Amino acid sequence: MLQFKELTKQYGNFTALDRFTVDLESGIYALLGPNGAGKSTMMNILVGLIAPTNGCIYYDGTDISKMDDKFRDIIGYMPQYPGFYPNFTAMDLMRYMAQMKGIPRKDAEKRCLKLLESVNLTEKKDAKIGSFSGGMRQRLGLAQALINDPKILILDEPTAGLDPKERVRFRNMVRRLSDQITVIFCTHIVSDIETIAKEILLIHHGKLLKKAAIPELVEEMQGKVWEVLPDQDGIEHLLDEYPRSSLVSRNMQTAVRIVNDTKPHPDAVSCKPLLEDVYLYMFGDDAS
Amino acid sequence: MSRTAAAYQYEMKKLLFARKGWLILLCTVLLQIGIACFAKPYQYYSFDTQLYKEYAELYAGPYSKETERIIHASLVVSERLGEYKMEYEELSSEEMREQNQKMMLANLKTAALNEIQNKYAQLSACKEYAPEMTYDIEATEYFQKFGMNWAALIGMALLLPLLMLGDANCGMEQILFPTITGQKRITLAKLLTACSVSAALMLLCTLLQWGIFSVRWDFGTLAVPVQSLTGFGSCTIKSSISGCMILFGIIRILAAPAAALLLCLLSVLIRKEPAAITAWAVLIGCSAILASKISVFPVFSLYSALSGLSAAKTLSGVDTGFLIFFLLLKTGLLLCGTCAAAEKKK
Repeated sequence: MLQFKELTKQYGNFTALDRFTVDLESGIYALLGPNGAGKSTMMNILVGLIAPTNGCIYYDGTDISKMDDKFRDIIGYMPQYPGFYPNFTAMDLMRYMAQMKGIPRKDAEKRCLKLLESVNLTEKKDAKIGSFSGGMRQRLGLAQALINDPKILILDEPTAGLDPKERVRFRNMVRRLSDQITVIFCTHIVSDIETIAKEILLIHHGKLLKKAAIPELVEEMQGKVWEVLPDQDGIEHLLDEYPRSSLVSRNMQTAVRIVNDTKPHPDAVSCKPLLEDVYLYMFGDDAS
Repeated sequence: MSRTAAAYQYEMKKLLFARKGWLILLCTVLLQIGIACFAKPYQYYSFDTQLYKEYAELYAGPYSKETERIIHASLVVSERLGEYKMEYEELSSEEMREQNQKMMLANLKTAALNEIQNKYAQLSACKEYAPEMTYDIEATEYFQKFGMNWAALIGMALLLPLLMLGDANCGMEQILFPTITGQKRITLAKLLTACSVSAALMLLCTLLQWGIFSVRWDFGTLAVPVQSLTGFGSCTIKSSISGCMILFGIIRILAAPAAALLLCLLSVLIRKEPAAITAWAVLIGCSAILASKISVFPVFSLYSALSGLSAAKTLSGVDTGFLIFFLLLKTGLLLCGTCAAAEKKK
């Protein structure tokens, strides 16, 4: 079990993470929050890239700062927009990461090939990374994160740059892994996690606002999501008045979907909430 | 294989191949060959090599009380020789000449033997008071060229920031540091790579320099004391020129890792390649200015150590020992300091 206790990170007067406390078990945990919410700070502390100002992280009851090598041995990390050496081939990079992750050479070769196959990069294994598209880099980033068979997998915006087919493939892969391991999945894209996440961690201004399963979060939104079919002037007026709103198509017409505690318009009808509505409701103006 | 060794192996591979460090090394070697081939010798003074060799054999090692005694004695003998010559010319009778001849010949023999020492005194005096009149060996002209090795320093300046900042610049640090090898071992591997690459580069450039100079100029008189060279008169290291060449070649190679680690530390602190290289050049330049202004500073100066043989001009044997000691101490401190600075960047 992974436990965050009162984790705080300050940069001068700015608090990037404020007494963040949460317990995580195996399964996929989606970290949801607007830019600057503290998601990356939390993950960077977890992987040891930055040190916390206060607080601790425990893995199975042991402070990870005292586990040192042992903790790094059980994590796999895929940063947002992973950067690689452009002159390395995909296989070179995988071999290098295998060495850095302490995989014996005799096992490394097989493992590298298997992982490249699982992320659909077998054909490109001898191509220079410099020639890779954004999606291919993301997939290579995932492959390197999995090379040590991690017990904790940390994914920072992993689907950025992937096409829909690759996103589905990626989701399936993460879902299959998540039975035995803890996956921390940080994203802005709600659709990436709404079908696979065990629980959602909503984070804002460095604080954990809520930790709950998707049905629970959606249930709480009952009676707070509305749709209106106004005329053109009415659309602009509603969008201006309710920042937590979006445009949707309904029977060839444009409707305004509004997240609000009270009925926003006499013609508004209550509708079934989605995870995206939760996001808009929790993060308000910052969500944009 | 230990994790640091594995990281070291990959750092070397990345530096030389992934970041095209081999190209920089090749350019450095070509630059060194060019500098050594086209280096213009300093103007030297006319000199009778055979005559010099006799003086040099008499003068073993640095100026000492014994040297002073010999010089004083030779001056006395020289004066007496002059007196005898005058007396001899004044003698009128043949008989008297014969009577005195034996005694005078004995004295002349003694005087002749000491004449050479007298000439040495003149040579020393010339060296001290009128360097422009110094009789010297041809070696002086190319030994003055064994100063700072600019080619090796330029090579280091181009290679090392790539090594230290390459991972950070391309975003690989984020992936590498959370591995079991970890930041400490990777930083240590980088620093060990910096040390070995810089030492190898300095060795290569020094050997090229010596090789090319030996082809261009004759190295036939290396067995004579280093004090024989212009400008080395005050040096108190008891060594031949060849001994000094080897000693200061070794010091220069030992100084290369210290200079490399200083650049690594600056790269880690500043995080910008051009700024780190500029700061490094300024620090080494300051070290050179301080070494020339403060008499005890050469012992602590990185510039002195990097300067190689030319540093021997002002250093004694004891100073050289201290220079090596402080160089090793500096290397150790810079190694620890850079590791700590990299860790603190968290």
